[in-house]
Amino acid sequence: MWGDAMVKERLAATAVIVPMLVVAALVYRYAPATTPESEHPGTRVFNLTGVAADGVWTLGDVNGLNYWWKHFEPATLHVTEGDWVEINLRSADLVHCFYIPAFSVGPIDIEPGHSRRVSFRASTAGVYQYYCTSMCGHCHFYMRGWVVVTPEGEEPVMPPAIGCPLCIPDYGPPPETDRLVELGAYFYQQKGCITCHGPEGRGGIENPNSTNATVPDHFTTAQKLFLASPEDADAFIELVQHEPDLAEVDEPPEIERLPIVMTRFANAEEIIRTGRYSAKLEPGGPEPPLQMPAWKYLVEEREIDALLVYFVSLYGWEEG
Amino acid sequence: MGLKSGLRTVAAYWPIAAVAATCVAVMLFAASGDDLSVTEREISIVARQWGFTPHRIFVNTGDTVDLSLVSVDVVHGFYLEGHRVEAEIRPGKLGFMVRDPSAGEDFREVESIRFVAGLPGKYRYRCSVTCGTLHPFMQGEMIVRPNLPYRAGIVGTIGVTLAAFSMMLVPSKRNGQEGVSNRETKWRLDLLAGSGWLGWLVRKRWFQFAVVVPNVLVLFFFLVSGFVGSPIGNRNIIITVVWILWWFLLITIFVPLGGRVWCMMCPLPFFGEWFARRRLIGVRPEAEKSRSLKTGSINRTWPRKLSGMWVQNLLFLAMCSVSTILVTRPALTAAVLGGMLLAAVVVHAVFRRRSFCRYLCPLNAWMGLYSMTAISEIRTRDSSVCEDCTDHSCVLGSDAAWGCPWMVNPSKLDRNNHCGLCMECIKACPNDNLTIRARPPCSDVQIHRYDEAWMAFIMITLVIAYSITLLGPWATVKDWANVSEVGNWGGFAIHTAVVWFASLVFVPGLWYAAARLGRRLGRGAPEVRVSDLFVRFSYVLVPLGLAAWAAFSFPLIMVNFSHVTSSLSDPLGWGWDLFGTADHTWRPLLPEWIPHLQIPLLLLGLGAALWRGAAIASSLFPSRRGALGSLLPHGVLCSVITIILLRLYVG
Repeated sequence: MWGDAMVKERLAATAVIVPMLVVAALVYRYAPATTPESEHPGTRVFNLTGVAADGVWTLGDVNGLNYWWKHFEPATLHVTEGDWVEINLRSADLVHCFYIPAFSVGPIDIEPGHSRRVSFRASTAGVYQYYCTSMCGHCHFYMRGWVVVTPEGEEPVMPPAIGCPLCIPDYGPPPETDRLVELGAYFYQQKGCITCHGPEGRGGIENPNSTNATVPDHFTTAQKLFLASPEDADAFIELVQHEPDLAEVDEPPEIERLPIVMTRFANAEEIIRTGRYSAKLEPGGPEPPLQMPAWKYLVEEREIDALLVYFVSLYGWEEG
Repeated sequence: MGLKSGLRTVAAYWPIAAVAATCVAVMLFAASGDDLSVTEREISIVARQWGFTPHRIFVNTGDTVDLSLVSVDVVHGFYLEGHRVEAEIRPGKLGFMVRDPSAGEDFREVESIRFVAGLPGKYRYRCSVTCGTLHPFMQGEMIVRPNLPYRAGIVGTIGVTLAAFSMMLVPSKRNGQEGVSNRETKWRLDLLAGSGWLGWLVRKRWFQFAVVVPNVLVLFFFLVSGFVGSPIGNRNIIITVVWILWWFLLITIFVPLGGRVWCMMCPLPFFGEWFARRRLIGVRPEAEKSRSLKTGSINRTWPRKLSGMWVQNLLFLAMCSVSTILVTRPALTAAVLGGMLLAAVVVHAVFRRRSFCRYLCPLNAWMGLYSMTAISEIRTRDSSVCEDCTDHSCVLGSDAAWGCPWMVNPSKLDRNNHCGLCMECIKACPNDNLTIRARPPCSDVQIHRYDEAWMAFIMITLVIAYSITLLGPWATVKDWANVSEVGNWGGFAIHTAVVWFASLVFVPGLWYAAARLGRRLGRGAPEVRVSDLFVRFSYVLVPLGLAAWAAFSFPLIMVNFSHVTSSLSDPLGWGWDLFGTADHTWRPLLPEWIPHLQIPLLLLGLGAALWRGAAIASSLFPSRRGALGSLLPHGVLCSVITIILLRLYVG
């Protein structure tokens, strides 16, 4: 009887432990980080996960545990010229949109829980950017990185990672001032404008296949508003500072061509509110990745004023 | 006797009838103040993590609604129940995408969408695109006036209350002559009589092992999934199955049918019990005598001071204070379940039998309480057999079975509260005197202890709190509860303090006031104290609470069912597709029917509460009028609670 019972006990213990080991082994075997499988031999495979909190597409393993505390680094994808490249895309939190305009990959929505695979041939050597093109939170505008395609045998270049200064360190509260110019400088960074329009509105950020080639700059706004002199610019900044509603100004200050300035100011405001489509340079080419969003519901009217007078203040009159 | 005299008795209480008529009239005419003319309305709704502004919109039935949608942070969805409207809203875009979810069509871009408001009632609009941690709870409410279901629910509540009290006045054979002890001669069905398969099954030594092991494996897999799987709750099986499916089954099936039948198959104490017994199937009597870890458990007796349910009440309340975070974070759920599993090992190593389950498991207290409503029980067939019994195997154990692991005396079982349905006593009894019986619901009514009464208060408070926090449209409250992400510790403190104060002080305070009033109104039993009414009548919150929890759980499963099916195919959220269901689009299951399920459930709960309350009252007070008076204040409180829940669910 003793022996018989113990055999039963051992069988029972086996029935508990063996399936547990099998489960663990299967989970390990099919974990995304350990399965860079591809139908095409010789293909480079990357697993990218979008993380909104850090504004990155990362190569790291994002799981239920580390998501809450780990800082994820943006991925730089190094491949050799001529490689076939496959990217498995996931989202760790919400809807992102993946886009490599240089290779016409995407834009493709990446929903949480649904993995998507894209592939392309890295036909031309160079350094290209990939993007997230669907607004995904505070760090969205920094959610981009590099695809570095190097000719066989050459040393790959190492472009600096694109990090989000809003998060590291925490960007902090707005300055305690009612000066619109200062507030505008703050919002310019805090809302992410700076990522496409460049530091101090200097522009120069490439927008592949757009008619402008780069995203418009903003340090010449004073000129675009037809402000004639630094004195006029200062007077106009003061006007906006004190008159939230320009349509109801009783005693307008002496500014040359003020009606035109005001009209053009109103036009500029409208562009921020409703956004602007960057048209394709090559009609058959990829969609330009950087599109001006409609900020109407994302910023306050007064914040738009602040941004615009900040742009006015950026103009270098001496050089002009 | 009979209908005539019944009517005569009711007629004698015309003031009640007058109040009833007034209430119904007020209900029906109060709403005539609303302007119900059909019109066109322009409504724009702003979506943000995790709520809509406005969170409540009002339209009249037949109105044409011109709806525009905006998101101000990330991609959100908008699914309006019962109106074939599903949208996808992207921040930074002035239009949005729309489709008819029932037609399976593709999204098309629009500036606004028109629809006609349907039948009166409450419809919710929910986010349909995973948008972060609290996505499943992001919702708003559209009230299509006149809100007839809500009004019907209120009239029903008043009707049930009045009917219950009127019936207390109708003389019957039973009233007043019969106590409500559990040993009464009410209907019972012996499920183990004869040689059925059930009797064969539960007498097998391997029975409990066989029902627990699948759950052990599932739990193990869930723990792995919680830690290494997707951080998104609705894409991780530990969240979808535990908090959507399991919770629903527990509230609506397991507890009402089988009482603590979950405890029979619970995997949490499995390893602890294995360590202490050194057996999975067989019996090892010397394990009970072990005093060292080398031979099993140290087998200490649980400290008497901690042996009430207060520890569990507070642990449960603590767990529920962070439940919004718990049910949306796979890793936290895994940590809590894994922590309970480890705690059970430690407690089993030190203390006797199932001390962990009885004295620490936070689920034990409420499952024990609500198991009193179950339609099954383990009891002795004939108590006189036990009185003559000298064997006591059911308590002490034998070569054939363990002594009751739950440390109750099966021969004296008179309520379900502490019986974990492990079937050991049925195996142990040499006289075959223990059996499983089917019985009418809510057959156990004995609450005699303050800790159990407080559990009833905690549970009824929590169901209201959850209905506000999780099922309500108020994004601010959700932010308070979601403190680990939002970081508003002040709000979290308010949220927690309100829940603790309401469940530990406010509701018991109301209950005490009602008990005092009831003591004054109840006549003819001078020996009954206020504290008796306070504790005994806390039982009425048990059927009412269970019904409320069921009404709370139906939307969870009906709205989120497709998360369960998709995560069965892709349990870790890694892009697997085991059964071809991983890419199922999220679709609520008949969501517009939820209110029509919730209203009858709540009324059923209220009816059961008053019915059992009447039984308790008539066991305390000899006269019908005395009994009615004593129950009146608590009965009214139950109606008020029902109305609060109706207001939250359908109002």
